[in-house]
This record gives sequence, C-alpha cells and structure tokens, in this order.
Amino acid sequence: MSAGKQVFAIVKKDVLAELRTKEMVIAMFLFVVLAMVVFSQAFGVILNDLDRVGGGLLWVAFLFMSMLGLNRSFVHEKDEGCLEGLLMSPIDRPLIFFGKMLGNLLFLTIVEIIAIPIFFVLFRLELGASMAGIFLATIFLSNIGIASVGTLLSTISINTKTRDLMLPILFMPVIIPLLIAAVGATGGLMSGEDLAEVYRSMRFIAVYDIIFLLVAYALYDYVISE
Amino acid sequence: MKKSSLVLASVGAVLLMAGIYLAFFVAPDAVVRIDDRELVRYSQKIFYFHVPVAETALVFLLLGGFFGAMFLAKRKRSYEQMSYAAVEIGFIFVILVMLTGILWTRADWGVWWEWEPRLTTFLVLTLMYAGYFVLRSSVQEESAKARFGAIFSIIAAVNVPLTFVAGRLESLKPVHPTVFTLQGASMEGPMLAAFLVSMFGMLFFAFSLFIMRLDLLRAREDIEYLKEELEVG
Amino acid sequence: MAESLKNENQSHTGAHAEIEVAGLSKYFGKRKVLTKISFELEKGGFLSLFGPNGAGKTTLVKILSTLVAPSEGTVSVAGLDPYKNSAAIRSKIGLISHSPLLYLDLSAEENLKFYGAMYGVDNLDNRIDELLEQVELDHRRYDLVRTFSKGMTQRLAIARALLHRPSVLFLDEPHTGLDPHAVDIFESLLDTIRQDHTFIMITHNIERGLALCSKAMILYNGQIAFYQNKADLDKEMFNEIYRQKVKGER
Repeated sequence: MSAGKQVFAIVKKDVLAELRTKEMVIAMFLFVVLAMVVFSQAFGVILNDLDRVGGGLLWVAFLFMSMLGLNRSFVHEKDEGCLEGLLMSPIDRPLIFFGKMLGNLLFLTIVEIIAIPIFFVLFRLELGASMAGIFLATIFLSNIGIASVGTLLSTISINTKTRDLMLPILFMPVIIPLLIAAVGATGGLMSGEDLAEVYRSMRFIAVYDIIFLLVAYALYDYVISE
Repeated sequence: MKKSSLVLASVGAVLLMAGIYLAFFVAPDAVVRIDDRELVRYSQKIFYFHVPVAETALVFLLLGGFFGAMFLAKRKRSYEQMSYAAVEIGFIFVILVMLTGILWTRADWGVWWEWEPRLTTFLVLTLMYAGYFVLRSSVQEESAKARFGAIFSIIAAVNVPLTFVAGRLESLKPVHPTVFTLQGASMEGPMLAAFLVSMFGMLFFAFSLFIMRLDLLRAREDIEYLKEELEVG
Repeated sequence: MAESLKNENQSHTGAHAEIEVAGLSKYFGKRKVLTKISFELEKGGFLSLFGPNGAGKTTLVKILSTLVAPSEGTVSVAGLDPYKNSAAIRSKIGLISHSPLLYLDLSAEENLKFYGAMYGVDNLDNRIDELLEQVELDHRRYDLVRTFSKGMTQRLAIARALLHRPSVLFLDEPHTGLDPHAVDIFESLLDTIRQDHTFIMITHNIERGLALCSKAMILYNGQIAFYQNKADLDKEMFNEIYRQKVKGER
C-alpha cells in the first residue's frame, strides 16, 4: 500500500460521502452568497465605490465559509469513532493530514470557483482579462494555506469541549498574516497595481504555505494520537 | 521564594531603576518645535519601557514554543510546565505592550488607536495567545491539555514572525517610529546605554517571574498528586 | 491486594508467546493508570479482561494496539514492539470496538473498499465478497451503513476488522447492544477463526467472557487483581473478587 494510494483513498472517501449528502458544499455555498449580500447591504449604504473594499470582503466571506467547512469535515471521523479506525491502519500519521487537507482544499476551491463570478457581479468589480490567471493562482495558493492551517487546527478543536466554537478562536489569529497578503495581492490586481507588489505578496503566501505544511507534517502525529 | 528568582528579581529591579534614571536624566530628550519654542516631548521616554517590554514578550513567547517542542519530543512533564509558564509571562508582557502602546499613541498622535503594522501585530498576538488559554481550559483530560497546549504554543510561536512580516509587507500606514532596522539600531551613546540597561533589567525581572511561576506550577501539581493518593489510599 | 497472580510457565515449545507484557506501566505526570502489568498470551489464546470502568482495561488494549505509548516496561505483540514498529504491527492486528468505526454515508462495500485500500489488501474484491457472505450482509452490500441495524453494523465491523487477515484481535465490549441473533453470528464467526488467532476481549458479560476464554483477568485500579487459566479457574474466587472490585460490594 503506497502512501499515494492511501492518501487518495482518504480523499476519495471524503468526496464520496460528500457527493451523497452534499451537506457541506451546499451549506458553504449558501453561506458565502449570503455573506456577500449582507456585506453589500451593510457597506453599500456607506460607500459609493465598493471596489475599494471588494478585495477584503471577498476574503472575509471565504474565511468564514472555510471555517464552516473545516468543522464539518472532522465531525464524521469523530462521531463514529472512525478516527480510531484510521489510526489503527498502517498509515503514517502525516499522510492522514494530507488526505484530509486535500479533501478540504478540493471543497474550498469548488465553492469558491462558483462564488467568484457572483462576487464580481454583485460588487461590480473589474479585472483585466490578463490578470485573471494570476488572480486565480493567488486564490488557489491562499487556499492551500487555509486548508493546511484549518485542517491542523480543526483536528485540535474537535477534541475540545467547545468543539465547533473553538476553531474560529484558534484559526482567525493564525490566518491573519495570510489574509493580509491575500487581500493585498487580489486587491492590487483589481486596482491595477504594480505587479511587482502583487508578486511580493504571493511569495509571502507561498512561504506561509510551506511553513505551515512543514509544521503540520511535523506535529500531526502528536495532534491526532496520544 | 527560590534563591535564584530572588537574585534575578533583585538584579532586575536594580537595572530597571538604573534604566529609569538613565532614561530621564542622561538620555537626550526628544524635542519638538512648536511655533518658535522648543518643547520636550516626554512621551518619547515611554520608549525605554515599551520596547524592552515588547522584546521580552517576544523572547518568552518563542521560548514557550521551544519548550513545547521539547515536551513533545521528550515527553517530560517539566517541559510542559516550562512552556506554560513562558507563555503566561509572554502573554502578560504582550498586554503590557498594548497598554504602553496605547498610552504612547494617545500621547503622540492624539488618538487611542491606529491600525498600523506593529500595534496590529501585537493585537493579533494578544488574541492568538488568549486562544492558547481558552484551548487549554476547554480540554478536560490532563495529558491532552498538555499535548494540545504544547502544539499550539509551537504554532503560535511560528506565527509570530510571520505576523510581523505580513504587517510590514502590506504598507498599513507605517507611522510607527522605527528605531531598529536591518542596518542596526540608530541609537548612540547615552540613549543606547539607557535602552540596554532597561532591556536587561526587564529580561532579568521577567525571568525571575518565570521561575516563580514554574515553582508555583510544580507545587500545585505535587499537591494534586498527594490529594489523589490520600483519597485512594 | 493482588490475588492469585499466577505466573505463566510458558512455552513448552520454547517459542515466544504471541503477546508478552512485562512490567508495563502507564502514567501521566504522577497519575498512574497502569502499574507493573505482566502477563503472556500464547498464540491461539483468548484472554477475557474484566474490571470496573477506569481500571485501565481500555488503556491496556490501546497500548497493545499501538494507539498509546507505554511509560515503562516492555510489550511485544506478534513478536514486535507496538511502540517501535507501529506500522508493521498494525497490519497484523485488528480492533472491534463498541464504536463501529464505519462511515455512515458510505455503503458497506465502499467502507470495506476504503479500509482495504488503507491496508493494502490483495485481491480486495474477492476478499470483500468472501467476508460479506460470512457475516451474512451480502444482500445489503450497496446500502448505506446509516440504514443498518445495530446488529448489522456490528457484523460489518467484524468484516472490516478481519479484512486484512490480522493474527491478533482486540475486542472492546463487542456484545454491547447486540440482540441474540447477532451474538450468535458474532460467536460463530469467532469460532471459525479461533484457530491460529489470538484474542483479547474486554467485556462486562461474565457468562460469555468466561465461556470463550482460555485465560481470565480482572484489572482493578491499574493493577492485576485476578489472573488464571480457564482450565484451573477457581470460579468462586473469581466471583468473589469480581463482586468486590468490579461491583464495589464489600
């Protein structure tokens, strides 16, 4: 049983279960759209040109949506004792992390791909066609960070008394560096800023991703088992 | 009180007092021109307190992460206690940074708060480490509490430099006076002396607190253990 | 207060016992969960483990099944150290717990396919067919586990545990919540694999526990309070100690 096959098995299992119920993805999608509507109402009254804050609002909506999804993904494992089943199998603990993380990444990306066009329409934003590629790349790069940190922290939080409530408390401060850079990058792309600045932010996001992937790899064994 | 902490506290206290003296009477005053008069800006003196507090906070937060890692590697209870004590001291000092920072902001710029990199960073640190304590208190089982605490202390410590860099990256109104740059400290003579004395005084003092806290934790654990032994018989 | 700690005179064959535990202790900080546990179980043996809640039974099984690390002492399962050779051991052991360890939103077949992939089972499809027949769940293979009764879930859990042909099985209160029909299927399955398989079963069901075992042990407060071969089992002493320790009667 190669590592790749095991990781793939975990991702496949999560995808299958999600395809059956569609609980997570639908909830996440509805949430993100609702958030956007609420923001546009709340801020639209005050500001005339939303495109200045559009970049920030996008990420706020995505962050809250991802916390929703992250919580769900571990509930199944915990509730039916399946986590023990995973721990009993001859799989390296960090690989369990990768399996769950890739699944989360997949769901995040799917919801966001559908949400982004809606976002652009609602906030009447513009983005040069040539920038679209970099824009999407930034989003995906940031998602990796969100999925890594999120998977790591949600594994911790479901083991606490407050469970769902614990994740935002831990997650939000830790993700702020990523948030700052992501808003800077996407905002910069939308307002036609100098690409060098955007690349600088993207490099930071990449560093953030790598650091936390390494941290998760090193620590996951301790998180998930005694 | 343990001898070592007594010694450290005394040395720290002496250094701090010396630092205050130096800061007010030896270091050059910051001067501001208003109309035709030169006024001394005493608020600048907060620098000699605020920055040492900040640096001490960072030292202890990073130590907390380090001891957390040692605990996970060696599984010795004492490392976990050291990690917890270090984070506690670090957290207290972070709050002190926020308080002195707010006072300084108010004194210099007339507002209580400014969303600029370093203040924001420390606010984020405050919240992140507050999360550390919330996390520990929401785990019942002792071994899990220690394990998760150690893990999060590492995650948080890793995030400290990242938060700083992110703040600098996105030019969030850099109005914070920058004294330390990559080229080295732009301080000389008396100013540097006052600063260093205060810095070391703060560190010594913080270490004495750390040792005292550690003793307290160990004593408490011993008491708990004895209590259990007596109950079970 | 340890009663009748019979030391095992092991191995006429000179071979190592399948499970060997010597001086095993587990504590956190200063709190002791297990204190100097020592016992052996030969290949093909069946140990029934009794004791009140909190006695350390689950911890002992968790240490043997690589889920928890020991603080002191040596442990050997199928000749390997669970702490040092975790991955290798996991291919040889199986766990049947009171949680089914099954995914509700997947079908019986999908669950088995998942675990099969995790364990790298050869000829997976055939093995799944074989097992589903054995546990009499073939007709429900495409149904979601969510729709199963407790008994059916337990049977599927057995199939899952046996998927990778483990030589050692740990059973944590497997009789809980099972109706008589399910118990029958469960025990007839156990019968078919009795040979060449080693078992440790935690149970509160004295009748079944003593009937199935080759050795019986009572754990109390992290220590062995009773440990005898089935053959020489002093029923009275067992009941006496059980009443005192487990039921807490004086």
